[in-house]
Amino acid sequence: MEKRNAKAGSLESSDLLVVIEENKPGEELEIVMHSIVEKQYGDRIVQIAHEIATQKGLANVRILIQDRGALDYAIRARIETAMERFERGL
Amino acid sequence: MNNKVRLMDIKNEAEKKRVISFLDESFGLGYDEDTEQTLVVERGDSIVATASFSGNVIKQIAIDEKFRGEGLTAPLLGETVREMLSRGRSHIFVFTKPANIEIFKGLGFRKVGGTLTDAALLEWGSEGIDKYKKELAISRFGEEGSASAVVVNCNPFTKGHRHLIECASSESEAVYVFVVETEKSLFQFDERIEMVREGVKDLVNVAVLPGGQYIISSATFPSYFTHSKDLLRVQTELDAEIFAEHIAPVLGIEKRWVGREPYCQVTETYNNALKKILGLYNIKLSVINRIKEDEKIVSASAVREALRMGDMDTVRKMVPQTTWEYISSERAKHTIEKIKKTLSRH
Repeated sequence: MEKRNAKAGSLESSDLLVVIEENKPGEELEIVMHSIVEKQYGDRIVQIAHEIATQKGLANVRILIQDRGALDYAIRARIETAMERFERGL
Repeated sequence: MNNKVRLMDIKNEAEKKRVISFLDESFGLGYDEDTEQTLVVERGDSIVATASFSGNVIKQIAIDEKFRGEGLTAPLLGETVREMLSRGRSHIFVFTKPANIEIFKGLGFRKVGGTLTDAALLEWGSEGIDKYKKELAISRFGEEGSASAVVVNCNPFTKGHRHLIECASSESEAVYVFVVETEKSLFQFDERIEMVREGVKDLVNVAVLPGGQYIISSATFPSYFTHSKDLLRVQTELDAEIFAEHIAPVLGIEKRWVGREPYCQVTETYNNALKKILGLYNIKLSVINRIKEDEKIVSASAVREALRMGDMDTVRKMVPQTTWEYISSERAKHTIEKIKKTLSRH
């Protein structure tokens, strides 16, 4: 039940909470995204997360994004921070 | 507005008392003694909102009526989720009234069950019921036909459990035995599932599976472990609904088998809930009479009692050879010592 993770953000309106978890060995990058604006912006949010993870070379992780209508740059900042925290924790 | 959420030191009796009286005075809510962490929002010296958790379950959420609409819910629950994540709990559950479902959905919780009952179970995180169902589907075996399910704790595995599973095995194409995974019993989950596996090895149409998070776990069924009776009926019905709605269809389960319950109020209520809810999903319930040894009903609690008293004769009569071998082994020593020292029913 207990897994190592790193997080950034909150569940406040116009913010998002990003959680990076270690995935099981052999599993690929996995992005789980829930958003109140999923229909309109869901694909875009996943794309941003994918871009940043690829840049950083993070492969064996699961990224959970719980979005409450954040703007692009907030999404980027939260994801980057969570990933940096995750890497520092390694 | 200061909506700062503070972690409360519940080891401090004075602090704990403030939460207890807030919950009691404003909401008539009780405070579970097994609470691991409590969070509060305060205005001056007064608590205006609180939430708690133990393990991966959020509970005792209350917000003072006078402060509704001030946006306390998001910081309170957000902080609770963050604190749970910090402790490595990434799959989070909450029980709530159906009326509150939408509030939780706004924060990313997803409904697991609670269509037919007075309580709903929601979950949060990257894990979830859909993922579990996909993994469970891999365990499906046998021809299309009448599959059965048995859910057992086996603390420890007795001749009674064996009898129940044999009955199911002789009348079904396939039998799935779910072993309750929550660690609230004297025998640990690893010990319990191994005793079951050893004990049914010869039954070729029986598969033994871990109960996971959705079958009588601390999430679906907290009263099973805390014995607060007011919630018992609702929670047993919720557990039954999750089984019927999500688990049974994945494995083609058409019948659930249980032992008749002569003593334990919790188990009896559970059996009644199963009967009521499973019927709505066209799943049958078979209630099997308990077997006796020397006029005494065989049960895991009777075995534990005998272990406690050092009455190895009774233990030997009530458990199959496989369990007897385990109990007599070096590996079980620690657990047996624990049983002798404790008065717990579980």
